[in-house]
Amino acid sequence: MRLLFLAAALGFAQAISAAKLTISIPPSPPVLPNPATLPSSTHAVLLGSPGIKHTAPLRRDNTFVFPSLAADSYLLTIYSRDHAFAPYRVDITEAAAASAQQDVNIWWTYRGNEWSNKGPLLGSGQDDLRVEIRPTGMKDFYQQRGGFNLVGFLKSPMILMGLVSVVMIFGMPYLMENSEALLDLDPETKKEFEEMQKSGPTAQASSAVDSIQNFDLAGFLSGKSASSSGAATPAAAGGGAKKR
Amino acid sequence: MLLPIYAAVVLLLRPALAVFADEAWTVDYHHALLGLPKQSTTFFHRPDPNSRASLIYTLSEQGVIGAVNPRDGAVVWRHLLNSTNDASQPSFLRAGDAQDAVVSGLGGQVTAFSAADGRVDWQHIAPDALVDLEILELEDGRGTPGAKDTLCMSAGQHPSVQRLDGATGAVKWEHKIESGDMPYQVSASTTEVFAILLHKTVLGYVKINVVTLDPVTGRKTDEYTLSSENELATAATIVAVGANSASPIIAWTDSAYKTLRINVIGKKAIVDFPINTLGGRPPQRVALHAPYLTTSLAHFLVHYQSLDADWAEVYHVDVKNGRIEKAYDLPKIEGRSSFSTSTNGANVYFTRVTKDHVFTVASTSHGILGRWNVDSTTSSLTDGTARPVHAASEVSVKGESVSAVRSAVLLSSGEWLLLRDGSPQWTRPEILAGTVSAAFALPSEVSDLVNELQEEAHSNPVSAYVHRITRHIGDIQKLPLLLAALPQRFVHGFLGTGSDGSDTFGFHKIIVSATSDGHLVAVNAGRPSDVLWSSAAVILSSGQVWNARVESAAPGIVRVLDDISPMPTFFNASTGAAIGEDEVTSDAALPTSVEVDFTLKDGQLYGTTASQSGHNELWHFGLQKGETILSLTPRPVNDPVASIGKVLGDRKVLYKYLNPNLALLATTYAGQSRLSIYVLNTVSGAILYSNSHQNIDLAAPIAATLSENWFAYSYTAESTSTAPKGHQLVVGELFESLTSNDRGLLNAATNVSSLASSTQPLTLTQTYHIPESISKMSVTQTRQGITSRQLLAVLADSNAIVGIPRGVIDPRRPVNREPTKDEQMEGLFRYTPVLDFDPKWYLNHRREILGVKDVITSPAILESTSLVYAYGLDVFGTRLNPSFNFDMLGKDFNKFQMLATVAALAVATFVVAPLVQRKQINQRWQFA
Repeated sequence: MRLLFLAAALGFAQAISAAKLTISIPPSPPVLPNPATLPSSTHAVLLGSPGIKHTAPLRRDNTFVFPSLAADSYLLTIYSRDHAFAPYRVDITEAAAASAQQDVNIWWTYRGNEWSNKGPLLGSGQDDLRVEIRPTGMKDFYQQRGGFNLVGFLKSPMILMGLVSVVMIFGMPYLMENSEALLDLDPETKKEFEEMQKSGPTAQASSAVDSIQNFDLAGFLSGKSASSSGAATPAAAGGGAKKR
Repeated sequence: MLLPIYAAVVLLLRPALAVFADEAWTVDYHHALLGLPKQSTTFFHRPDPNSRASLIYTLSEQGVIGAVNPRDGAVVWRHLLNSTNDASQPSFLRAGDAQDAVVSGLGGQVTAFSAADGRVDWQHIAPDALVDLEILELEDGRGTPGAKDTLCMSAGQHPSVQRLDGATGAVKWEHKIESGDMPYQVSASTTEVFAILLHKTVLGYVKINVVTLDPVTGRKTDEYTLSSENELATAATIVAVGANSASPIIAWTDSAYKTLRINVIGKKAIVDFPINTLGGRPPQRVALHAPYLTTSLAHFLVHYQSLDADWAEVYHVDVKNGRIEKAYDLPKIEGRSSFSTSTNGANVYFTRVTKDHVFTVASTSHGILGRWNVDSTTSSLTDGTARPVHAASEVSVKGESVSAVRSAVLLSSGEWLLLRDGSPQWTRPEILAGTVSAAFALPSEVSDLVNELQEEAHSNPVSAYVHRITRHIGDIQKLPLLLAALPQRFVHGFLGTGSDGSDTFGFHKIIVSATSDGHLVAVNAGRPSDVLWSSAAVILSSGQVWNARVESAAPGIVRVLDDISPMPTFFNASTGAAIGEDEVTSDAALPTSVEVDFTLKDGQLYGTTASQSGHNELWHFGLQKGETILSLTPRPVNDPVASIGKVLGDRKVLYKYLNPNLALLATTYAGQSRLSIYVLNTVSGAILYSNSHQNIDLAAPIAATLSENWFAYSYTAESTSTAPKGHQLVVGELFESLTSNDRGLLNAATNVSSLASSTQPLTLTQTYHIPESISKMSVTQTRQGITSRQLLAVLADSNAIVGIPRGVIDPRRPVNREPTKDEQMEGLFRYTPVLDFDPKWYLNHRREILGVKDVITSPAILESTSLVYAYGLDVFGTRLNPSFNFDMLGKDFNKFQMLATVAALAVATFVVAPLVQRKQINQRWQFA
């Protein structure tokens, strides 16, 4: 924001032919609906040959005015607190040998490319050029923290798996007891299941350890266990839950 | 178009460090300063003539123009008009009555700003340096209250007076002063414009010449000389040239302050008033306070200031016949007072601020209209450590009485204070705007414990045991206090509100700053809103600038080196008390004596070795013809490095070239736009790396830094057939060898001397095209150096400081190919020539930091954290975690959620326990 508005060289350049460049910031929704909201620290800088640098502050009518520019090739940069602007190239050349007029051209330019690699022409004029430049985007300074989201938390596969296994552990015995009413379960299968249940805590534990070691997650997720050995399912599911 | 590629790169950099939204305004602090306001350029003014709300406008000694809200002291807008900080340069700020613009003048530049938002209205380049600037209050016949015109007077080879159009800044007329007299001031009455010139006589005296100009055409209508031949020795005894009042006056005294001579400009009569010293000492300074409006009564106040007291006289001018009479006296009051003028319609009020009271009187009579006691909580004013220097006031008038008065008072301590009916509303530490050097003081409390523990370790077991028991008894005595404070501490810790004053993490370091006007000011990085202490360290003659350097000498003690005293002075960092050198126990952590020293003397760089016979020159950096040294950046003294190598993706190690005696030297060539960079070994003087760049803009800032085994510098380059135009950043890193698991020539050596061996490091460099120039660079510091570093770059154009993560500017980024698996493991990604500054890297986020000259960093007790403090004009500080805060719970840690989870689990346990128990029992007892 240093308002070193015009380099010393410029005061004398006034006498010689000098071009005027006016850059206006039009309303450009959604990035900048109202250019009057730009802070007064917004300024434009023209960087010429070594030692030549012109700075223009933002005016009341949302313009930057460079009143007298000598022939040179300038890099135009606009600095604003909240908005980002692209870099531009401004060339001021003597139009013809005889006339005192100067050509003013302004192009897009790309950082990291040769200076001769110009982009599309933004505007050209003689002696006095007025162009409109729009911001390319807002600056986003802040990193948002990933907050706690209950739905997202419940959606995660690990939690879903845990919930399924909890349902299995608490739901299965209940299902079994009321199987005759709820399901049309084969009495033989039911008997087999009860046998399994009775076979004591040690056997259960060993089968649980077994199932932990040989737990087939893919098979479990694809529901393979439900079909083949229904009796092993609760233990396997419980094991799966414990594994985590 | 290449833009999408860059966007992709920026996206890749996303996981890099950023300012978190919830920490943005709490962790960092910022004083948006203006600098010390000047009396002549500070006033209350209504930006909107239809509204009663006014702002305080000022143009400071530091060349900053700004508007401050008198309600809370917040800056509404501001501009840095010059960066040279030349306080002696005259500057002007004027506002026309009922105008929505303020006009500033500095150097040769006249600028009109919109008073409400600080946008520029127009600019005008005066032919030469300005000597005066006034608003022409007269209305030009038509009676339409348009923008009022400006008069500016410039000096130089062709001095002139110009009238500028109030709406466009175009020159309406110009009057060239061709008499060869020195232009002094310009003034205007309702009908005429006066140019006051000083004519140097043969004997060296000064005569006052008044040239009357026609305000419409600028033609000279009259000219006369006021003072006699040998009356004025210098222009310094001219008290004031009143501008724009209904009848402008000029007042001067003799050098002994015996008589005051006043002339109503335009009239030839001079009235003499003997100066009444009221039985005390003669005045040392005479000042004149007059209203600035043509509509106001032509009354003025003359303020006399002696060594120990102040008094004043009020005079009235009869506009019709130009007669001046003394109306009344304001009594003598011991101690400093400041006077200020305010107007309300045609009425003029004078407000006097002393150490204890605020008085307001009308210009018409000596009756006190308002009198308030200064609130005793205004410590620096009422306890006598600071005195009012000058003030600007605004009075609210209800009927005949003054209902309220607001005074913006500059104190000699450099604080800008607003008194509303005597009670302080806000203070602004404007003294910090002149900071020339600052340093973090090492914390003293922690070192006390360390010392005690060391004592125990080094003494014999019995006395160590006794010492330990007594220490524990001492600690136990603090226990009740600690227990009593515990609940509050829990609540504070839980809610995250406030702090209990303890500094467990080392965030409350004291920063001691030296200012250009000879003050030392300390602020606490943990509680930055107020100044800890402030003291005048040296007495400077007017216009002298204190070139001081502050360093941390020992825990709790800072050392100040300056060009006034040959020996350093020492100060206690927590109290500001000066201490003798013998009381300072030097810090063991910092090396005190060095075998080989290097100095920059008369533009030459020497390496010297200390011996009995004084300093012997060991080496000398041979500059080429026309080469001049631009900057020398040594490696920081305290620069801990955790690892001597870089672990690669395949678990092999690349050894860093770590040498404590490194320095980066930047040189330029006269007349050529060429920059040379050398990395030197400061013991042997050997050049370890050098590079040269052509087509460099030497007017643009060239910043450089050096840390660990890497360096960085930036410059602005002009386009060539192959190179682009713009700003570039070069980063280089020094390695012992570029083969992994190989230390090169140093492999076998256990001890190495720079003088004996000539081991050269291998240097990798990469250059980036950056969007804007860097005016100053610095590197973060942490306690052990385990945390990765950030390159801090001051961006003067964006008024910002960015922290560039070290990983992004690693010179080992693969060029022209995708990174291999191993390189990806290491965090390296493909090199791109463009380095865009991600807005998330901005340490200041939405704050605007003006005029930063330097950034200092200091480690906190926590390894993850580095403290940052930037100074120059604004003061900005923050805490940085370059590798995230891995050793501290951040704000993202939800304490409520954690407690709720624990509580839920406890409840679940209590509910489920009986169920499980019953089930277990049933299982054992139930049989088929």
